[in-house]
Amino acid sequence: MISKKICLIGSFAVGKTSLVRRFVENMFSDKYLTTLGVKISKKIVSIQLEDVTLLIWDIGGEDLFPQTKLTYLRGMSGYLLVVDKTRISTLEIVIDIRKKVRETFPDVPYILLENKTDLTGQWDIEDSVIEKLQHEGWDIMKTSAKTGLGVEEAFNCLAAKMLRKTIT
Amino acid sequence: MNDPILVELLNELNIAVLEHIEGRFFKLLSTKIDWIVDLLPGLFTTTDSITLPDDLTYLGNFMVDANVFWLSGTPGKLDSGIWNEVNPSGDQYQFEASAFNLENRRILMIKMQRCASAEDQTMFQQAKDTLLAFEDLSRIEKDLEKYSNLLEAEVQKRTADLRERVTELNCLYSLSKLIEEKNDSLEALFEGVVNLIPDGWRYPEIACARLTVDGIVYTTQNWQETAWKQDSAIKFQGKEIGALEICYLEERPAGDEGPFLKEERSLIIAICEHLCHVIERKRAEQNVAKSYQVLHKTFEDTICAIATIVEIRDPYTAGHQVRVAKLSTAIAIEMNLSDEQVHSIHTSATIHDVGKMYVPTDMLTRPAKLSALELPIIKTHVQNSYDILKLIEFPWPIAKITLQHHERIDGSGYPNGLKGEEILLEAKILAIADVVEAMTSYRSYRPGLGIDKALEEISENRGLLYDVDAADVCLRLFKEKGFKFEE
Repeated sequence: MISKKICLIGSFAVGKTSLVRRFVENMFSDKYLTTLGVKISKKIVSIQLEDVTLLIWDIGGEDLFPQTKLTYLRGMSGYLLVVDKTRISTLEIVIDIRKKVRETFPDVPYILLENKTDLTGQWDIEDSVIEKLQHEGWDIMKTSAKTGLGVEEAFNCLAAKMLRKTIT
Repeated sequence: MNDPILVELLNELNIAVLEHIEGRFFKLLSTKIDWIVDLLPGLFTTTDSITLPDDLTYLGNFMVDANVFWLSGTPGKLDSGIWNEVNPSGDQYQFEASAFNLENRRILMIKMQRCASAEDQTMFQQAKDTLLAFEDLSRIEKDLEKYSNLLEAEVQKRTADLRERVTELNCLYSLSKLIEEKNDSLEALFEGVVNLIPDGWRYPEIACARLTVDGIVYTTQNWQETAWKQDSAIKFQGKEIGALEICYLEERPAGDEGPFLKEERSLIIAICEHLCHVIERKRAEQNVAKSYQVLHKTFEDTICAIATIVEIRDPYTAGHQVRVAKLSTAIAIEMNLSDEQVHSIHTSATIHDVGKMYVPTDMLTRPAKLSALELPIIKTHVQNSYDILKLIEFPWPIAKITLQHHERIDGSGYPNGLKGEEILLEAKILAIADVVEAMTSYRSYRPGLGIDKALEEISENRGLLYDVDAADVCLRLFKEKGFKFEE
């Protein structure tokens, strides 16, 4: 069976671990527990009639993404950049991370996830900003680890992109 | 590793030590402890040799960097960073690996620590929680600033609006005051109105006004018709009789109606309505005054007509009532009586002998004294006057005054022998004037006795027959003030 490494990157408390937990275990907890280091989870998915083991690297979030952390990304087939839709600073950080990642991994597919979209009254990232990024070629999806909205679709979409990349 | 104590120590510290042989093969230098087996399931080829997993696991990924490190021969260590694993029982553990170059041997150390329970707050957790709280605070602060700015802007706007309303109210108040002050003259009012208009508008420094009423134009000194105009018609009883126009001499930012506000539209309409009410009231007052004048003239003419009726029948006393009226009015004025009393005396005196129309003409004009039987008939003229005049609703007690004008304060008068305070003051004054005039005038039965005689009569009988104050005034009028019946 094919194994593919996916990394989840983003600032702290944006919901990376919750997204993984929702995707892998279909569970969610409101309590915020910071991730120390890296957590690796596995899930087998079926993409285009092919079973693929996704090795999901949940990398503990920090606002600075030092060069050393780039080693975590080694061998990845795709990555998810996660932002908290109620904190605009997390988008600014992710844009910076993406620049660094793209320098080392220019052709690796990614998707930007606007997480916590269930908190509609607290949205801090305006749609116009997202539209501008989409205009620049960013792939962006709305998710909620709490409700499950868009989570399965995000991982499957990335997996499909990774497979297409492999074929080409 | 031969030292058993060292091995035991490493076990206690949950540290596994491996030596890199080649490729992915390692030799276990420390004890084969359970967690190492769990961590690297199925990768022990012999009791103490291990094949590390591929690059996709955390450790496998670190091995890439470790190999580079070992090849470089750099002293010191290379850390992998913390990673988490879950054992088959579901327990989560944290690991950290370090690569060492020690005496040309490539050592890999893996340290395991049990995870803290979910409820424990580690330093990192607290730090992250604090950072989140700080972010929340910053966001709240930003929101507060944003709402504070919005509130400030709203307060400023409302304050500005309020100032505008106050200005407009002041304009209306000034208008009301002006209407009170310039009650007599509409022209003066309109001049005042047009000059206070600009201050009621938003840009008074560039405002000018023009008021037109019944074709007459009133303007401010700086009046100039411009494209920035607001106007309203002045309507009286549905007909347009004028207009009020306000112009700005310069362009200003757009409001609700060109540069004007909708509140200013309300103001200009209010001012025009005020002016309309003033004009209405003024015209009504003028009509009333006119009617009053007509009525007054009619009244006076009627009184004169009544007086003339008597005098036509008695030519010897022609003019008597007029002269009595002149003297009695002069006495009343000199005594500082009210206008009402003066009018009542004047009117009473002018027609006080109307009752003589019932007296046979022969008796009135006989050039001889009347007999004792005839005198009472003459005296009836008083009651007759009363009977006639009581039928007219005068605003003053005219009938009573004429009834009493032959009464004397000692009760010796007629027809009712009234005394002192029983006689109206007006009647007392009329009595004096009647006596003085009668004595000084020519009668059919005797010549005039002269003014001195008449004044002597008054002087001797003041306080006895005649009211003291009225008598004194009468005497003063003739002796000091040169009063004359004919001028």
